[in-house]
Amino acid sequence: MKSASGSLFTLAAFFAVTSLFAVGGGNSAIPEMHRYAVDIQHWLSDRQFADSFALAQLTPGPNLIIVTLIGYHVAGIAGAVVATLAMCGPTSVLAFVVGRASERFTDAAWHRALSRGLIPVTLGLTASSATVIASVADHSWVAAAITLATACIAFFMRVPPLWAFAAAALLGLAGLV
Amino acid sequence: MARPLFKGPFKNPAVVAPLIALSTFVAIGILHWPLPLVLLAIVPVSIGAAFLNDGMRR
Repeated sequence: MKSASGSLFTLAAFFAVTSLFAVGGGNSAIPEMHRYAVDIQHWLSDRQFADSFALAQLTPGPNLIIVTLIGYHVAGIAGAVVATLAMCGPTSVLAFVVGRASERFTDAAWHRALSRGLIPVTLGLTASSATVIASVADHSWVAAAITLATACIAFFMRVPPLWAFAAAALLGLAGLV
Repeated sequence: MARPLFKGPFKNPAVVAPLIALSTFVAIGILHWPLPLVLLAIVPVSIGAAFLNDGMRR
């Protein structure tokens, strides 16, 4: 059993490093968070991870609330604060520095290559996040059908995603999921 | 006369970009490999391919 300070250090180290590799936003790091928090450290079960993700999406504010929830689950309020700061701190500094440098080199060949080169990686990470979340959340054919329907609605139609949330919530309230 | 050093798939971004996206997806989403290690391998390749492609179009 780890001590509280040991858990806090592990949280801080993991989220600080992971944040630097979250190409395309916090959701790109969802597979890594799942791998580490569920598969390696066993801080959460698949179900708890899926619930934390759903809660993070539903609550107003940044999607990174899942980081706060994982931290809270591991070490209470202190864990929530440490995990959130570790996830946001290093990337905020990096974004500030890179943003300033980026303005000066907009026309540079390496700048264009950097922007273009990161796009396919971001796409791959986004697809990975969707796959990981679907694999831990969809334990029935109804849940899988809702995931598929939401993906189709989002891809083919111009319908606000909130309608999909509302419909899925109603199905959940009816006990169908 | 400057000529491209690389030909083949690097010549066509319509091939390279989906390949990189697919590789990332398979490594992270299917095989569940560690994110830092995968990105340390894929990102330089992706940026290098974009750089080469950009140079060839000029």
